[in-house]
Amino acid sequence: MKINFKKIVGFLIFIFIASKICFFVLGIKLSEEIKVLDNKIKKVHQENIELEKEISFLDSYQYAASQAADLGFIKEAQPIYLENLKYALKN
Amino acid sequence: MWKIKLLFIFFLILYLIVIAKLFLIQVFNIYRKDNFLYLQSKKLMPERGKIYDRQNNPLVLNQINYLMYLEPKKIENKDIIFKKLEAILKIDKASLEAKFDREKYWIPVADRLDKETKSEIEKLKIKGIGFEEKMRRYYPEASLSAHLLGFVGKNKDGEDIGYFGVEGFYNKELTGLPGFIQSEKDILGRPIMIGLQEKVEPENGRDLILTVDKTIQEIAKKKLAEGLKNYKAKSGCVIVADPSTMAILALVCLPDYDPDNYYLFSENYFKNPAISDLFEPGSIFKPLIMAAALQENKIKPDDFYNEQGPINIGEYQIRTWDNKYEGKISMTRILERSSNVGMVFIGEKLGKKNLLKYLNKFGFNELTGIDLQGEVSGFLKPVDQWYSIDYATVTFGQGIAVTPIQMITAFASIINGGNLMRPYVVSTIVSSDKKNVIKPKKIREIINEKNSLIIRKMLTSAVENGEVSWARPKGYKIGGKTGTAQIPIKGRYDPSKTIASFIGFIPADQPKIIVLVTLKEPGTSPWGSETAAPLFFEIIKELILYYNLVPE
Repeated sequence: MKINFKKIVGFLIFIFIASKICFFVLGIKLSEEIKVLDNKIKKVHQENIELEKEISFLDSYQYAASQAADLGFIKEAQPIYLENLKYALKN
Repeated sequence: MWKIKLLFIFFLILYLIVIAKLFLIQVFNIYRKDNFLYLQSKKLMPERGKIYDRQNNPLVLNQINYLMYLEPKKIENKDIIFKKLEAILKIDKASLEAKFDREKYWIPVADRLDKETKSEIEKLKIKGIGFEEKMRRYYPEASLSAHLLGFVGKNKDGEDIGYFGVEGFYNKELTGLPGFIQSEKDILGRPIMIGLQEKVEPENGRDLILTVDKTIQEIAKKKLAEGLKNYKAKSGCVIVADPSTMAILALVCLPDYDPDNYYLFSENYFKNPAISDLFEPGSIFKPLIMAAALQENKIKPDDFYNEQGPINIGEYQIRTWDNKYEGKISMTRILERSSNVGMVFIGEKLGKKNLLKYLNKFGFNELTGIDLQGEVSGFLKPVDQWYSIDYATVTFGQGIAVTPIQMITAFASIINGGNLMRPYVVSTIVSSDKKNVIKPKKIREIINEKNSLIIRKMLTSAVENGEVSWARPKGYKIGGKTGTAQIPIKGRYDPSKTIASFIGFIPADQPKIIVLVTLKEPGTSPWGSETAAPLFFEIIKELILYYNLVPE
């Protein structure tokens, strides 16, 4: 049987071109995914920093003091004593 | 033949299309992003290490801020843009216009913008406005530990650098190592997988866990602020430490500054007086000389001294603080009534050579080695410059200059069993893969355990039988000593200007906490017994509750 070299070479070239195109497309897809994941990591990191800041603020004495002031748990809220009760007693 | 011509024309058209596309991309910049580069190289900045207190409460964290900039060449109608920005940035239009220069490519407009402000501006979709992400320090407790922590500023190259306190001392550990990325990217900014992709991750700065307790720091600061107000003092410091290890539990000096807005304060506020300011300690120095004399067997606790009247040394006369003399008094009584003449007697017993030896042993001629930036050493004159009066006055803490941290370190050594310890504020350095625990460091032994016990008893008696009775917490044994030192001004002492102090410890038998309080120029009374001492007991009362100490 006579080997048809032209057909074999043609077939190989076709396979190479097809696989090259395939790898190229996969590469683009992969790099796109890397880009998306990079952005996600960056976003998560930013969110972590924001949350850490928020938690530490809510746990701080500064916040507790401001809340206490808002709710009236401060020295100014102590009772005021009446001094001249005798007038009230007389009446 | 026509087939070849057809093929030629086909390839020619194909090449022309490629050339035309390249021309569009390279000359007219279609698709191109603003800062597009085929080979992108970028320095990856590490995140600065965080700082926590001993209970792992954050004292310093990082936050993301944005710098907003303008690209004048891309801006079309600046008046409308400035009007919109004016409301959001709260910068008036005139200021924005003053910054604007059509000839420039890049103009920074507003720094320290938060995420919300950034998104508000982005919603406007204005061409020619950009943002640069920046990391900045965040202090959940604001200025609670300003002097202790220091702050992060810029060096001459515009890079972040820690100044003062922990930030300055541990700058190298906190900074970390920058990383590096080199990446070949396509026209849409996607990495080319078969191209060069090199990335070295940055090594973030190490986190620090301090020996400081946030609650004790809060107590100390609150009480000191009240003390300054009540006693009309110019400034003051409170140091709280564990005397057996010299781990600093709190260190506060007032007035201080806001580390977040440090640039609004003058440089005078940045210096930490607890480690950088020298003062004449006065009577709180007496127990050190007493301890030295006991250690050298020059006196015994049951010895007596005949306190008859003032002592003359050359042209100088040394008196007791109230110019009253009790006659025969014990060594303990010398401390109880803070007798200057009694201390001169002990100094003479100790001898000049021993006196200088112990001043050096207590570390007054060297740095304590505390891990805070900005510490200065105390000052001892060269031996040939010591006169008889100097040997006499130093026994009651005048004529010698020490820092508050030196004073508390030396004092801790006489009550903790006799060991001079290195004071420290960082207990653990945490990196991504390991924890480095810093252990207490003994510098040298000064007195033995027996003499330390005697001194503790003497100081407990000094509190219980002192000249002034304070509002002490009932049922607790507290040891301590008052001090009132006149401030030297132009070579003379001004009797109206004093540094009032109190140093004490609790529980007296096995001290767990030592506290030093100093008040500069108190206005209500010059005496330590009437200003610093009540403040000390106010702090101790809160610490007893916090540590849940039971009465003895």
